Amino acid sequence: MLATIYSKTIRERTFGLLISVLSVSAMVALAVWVYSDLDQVIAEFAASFPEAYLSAMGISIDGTGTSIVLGEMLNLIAPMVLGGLAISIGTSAIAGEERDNTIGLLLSNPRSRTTVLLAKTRAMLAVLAVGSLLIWLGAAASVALVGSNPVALSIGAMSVHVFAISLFFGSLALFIGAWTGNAGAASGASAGLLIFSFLAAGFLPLIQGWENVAKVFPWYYFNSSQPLQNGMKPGHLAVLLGVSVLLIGGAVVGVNRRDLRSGGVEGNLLERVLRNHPRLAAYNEKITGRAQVANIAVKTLSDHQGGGTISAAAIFYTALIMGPFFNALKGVLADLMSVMPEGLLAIVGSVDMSTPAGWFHGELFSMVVPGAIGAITIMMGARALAGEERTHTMDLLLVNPIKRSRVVIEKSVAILGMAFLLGFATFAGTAAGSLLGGLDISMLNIAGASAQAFGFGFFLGAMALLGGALTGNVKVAAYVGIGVGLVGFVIASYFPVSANLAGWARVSPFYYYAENQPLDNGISWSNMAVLVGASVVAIGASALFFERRDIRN
Amino acid sequence: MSNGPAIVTEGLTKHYGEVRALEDLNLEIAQGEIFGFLGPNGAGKTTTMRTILDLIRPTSGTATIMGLDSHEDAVEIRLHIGYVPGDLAMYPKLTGRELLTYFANLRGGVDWSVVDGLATRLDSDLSRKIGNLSSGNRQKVGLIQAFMNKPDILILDEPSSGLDPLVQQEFQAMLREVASEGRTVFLSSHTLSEVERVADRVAIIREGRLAVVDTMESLKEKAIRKVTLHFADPISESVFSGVPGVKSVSVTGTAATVSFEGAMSSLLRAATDHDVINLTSSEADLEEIFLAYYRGSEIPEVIR
Repeated sequence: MLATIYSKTIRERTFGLLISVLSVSAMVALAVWVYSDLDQVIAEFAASFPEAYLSAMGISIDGTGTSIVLGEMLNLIAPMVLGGLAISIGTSAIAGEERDNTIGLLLSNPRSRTTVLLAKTRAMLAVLAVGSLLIWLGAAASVALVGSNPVALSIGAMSVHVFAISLFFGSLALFIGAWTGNAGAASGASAGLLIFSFLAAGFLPLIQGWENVAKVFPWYYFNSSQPLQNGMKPGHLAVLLGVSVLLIGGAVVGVNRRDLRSGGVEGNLLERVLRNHPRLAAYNEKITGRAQVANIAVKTLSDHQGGGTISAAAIFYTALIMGPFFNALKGVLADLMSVMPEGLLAIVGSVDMSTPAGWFHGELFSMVVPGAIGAITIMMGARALAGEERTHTMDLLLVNPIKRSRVVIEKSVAILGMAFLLGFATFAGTAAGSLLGGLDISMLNIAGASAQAFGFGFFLGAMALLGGALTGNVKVAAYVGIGVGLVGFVIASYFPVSANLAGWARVSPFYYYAENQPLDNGISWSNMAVLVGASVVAIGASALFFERRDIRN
Repeated sequence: MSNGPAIVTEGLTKHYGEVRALEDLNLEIAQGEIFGFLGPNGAGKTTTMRTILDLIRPTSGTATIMGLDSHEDAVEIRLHIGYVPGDLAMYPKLTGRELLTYFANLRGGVDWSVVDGLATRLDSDLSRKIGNLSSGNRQKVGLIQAFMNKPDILILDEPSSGLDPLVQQEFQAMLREVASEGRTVFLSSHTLSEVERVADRVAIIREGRLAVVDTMESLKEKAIRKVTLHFADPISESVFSGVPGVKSVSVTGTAATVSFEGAMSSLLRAATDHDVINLTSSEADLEEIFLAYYRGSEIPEVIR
């Protein structure tokens, strides 16, 4: 498997690919199974569904619960997961080798930069092709197993579109990495565009006069043609694949035009901003210098300030525009809610989206907020212990006169701090968006919902921390956090619609995050207690396991 | 803290499944001693040090530092320890000074004039980010963090890797100063000349087992030396038969090359019965001694 750059890249990605595909397939199977009971209810309702809303949600309906839930999974979860994997591969291809200081060794072999880049690109293509194929097979098998009979669903066509959009974002990361050698910029910009284009391609068509603006976003070419219902759209595929080819070509040019890095580092985001501003430079040392190494918790927070800042800004901005958006859409939403069945409403959290609180819950708090907070806290949790072991810094840290439990606790405090900051950004953005749109949402309830988002993020971070404490492996730790989050989302979203499974929704952290609809009803202290209590238990278990095992070297 | 040995290991054993990384290691390192720890790659040097530091836990056996148990009293012990890991990795986004501040905050009791003095001696620029330093310059920062709190015991795993010869000299001077102050150095190194220059005693470990522990002088004394004697007339090998310490003899015309160990008096007595014109002798080559242990046989041929 190590005979070539191509095969080595494939081997490195096999585990991630399998985890991704199994996660998506498991979620599809679970959701299809739960929703297959609702086929008849939704079939009767199908005719009254406004198309605009379905476009915004990325959901297509052709008369069955199965097709709706497949639409949700394949329009959203599959491209997010496979696109994330593609971004990771594209980033690692050149910029990652520079970050890890392995590019020099690699290029000391008789291989040109172009050969290396293209070999890694071929590996990315192969991984994405296999991933798309497996998702296709998994979805088809799920449908077949529950005996559902969705009307003319083109799961294969959808999988091809998933492949194309994933390749686009992987190629974008490759392009940025090849031109800059900055892995953070490559993955951050690509992931940012993935999220932003998903939101933009969903919302812009709903606003009169803005329909065509959506066409500048790649997500438009992924699912605006509803490939699950209508089959492949060659023109859209050509756009995604064509731009991908251009990006790969551009990457070849970029990597051949510049000096390659050798593991050097830039200052972090805040530091770069301060350093380059004459008036603010004096504060640089105070904020980014010795202050950031005051203790383990502060340093850990500082390590993640870039991701945290971007995540907080994304949450704030998205929340801010939700207010004006609501005013633009409230007519459509009122019509929609008046005819929507309860089963379908469960997908967006069983809320009335024609009310301001329901709108914010469905569009912001159901996925964007927990996703953005969870992404950062899971990353912090995974890197807290296992990351220091991977980078071989844990030895130096632990030969200081501190207990291992103190390291666990201080790292947990950092995760808690980040969750709190992101929760505060959620509050500030939602409050500002509500005021901007002249909406009458209780500030206390916004604070309550934001507090529960904080509790949810803290819990996911604590779970990733536990995974790291048990194994010392960053990937396993991250998968623990992501797995708990994704499976929890599916359980909390779909179990409540089935009478037999509704009680089991309580095993999901999402249940305790959103079950009480805090924007309408205010904070649930008991739900908060469960989230924070479970986090504390996970941290305690982390300290116990970390104390007892050998530090990896 | 006790006045006894600085470091003691008793039956220290570490297995990773079927792999026996360390087997029944018994060591005693005195306070104020520079103790060299040698062995080929994978012999168990780093495993020994990481076990003593409680970073990994022994399968059996114990380690004590200044009389304190390496696991039960780990935090107390670390107040008195300076450590440079073999695979030195630090936080690349911090400057050297920020990194030292971080560890100084965790450690306490760091005098910054000591830090600045060390930086000057090692010619280390603490204002640059760790990630932008060469490996040698990173190593200097690693050394400063180990020395900065004037620890009672320095545990150094390949500390001079990447250092240029001038800095290596300065580093060796620092080690001698530490020992002269009654502090202890446990030094693992592949730079045999460095060990030879600074170490009071040396241990050689192979395949997880201790092969030998002795002073440098004793190791040299025990080593087999080669003496070449030139005689006025051709002589027979039988001249040296039965002479205590003689291991082998090779005669070519009027020259005899004798491998022997121990005092030379008996050899000289046997030789001077004949007309000796010249004698050349080379001191035991320390590198040869170590290499003989490294290479494999239980009892190296050059040393008994």
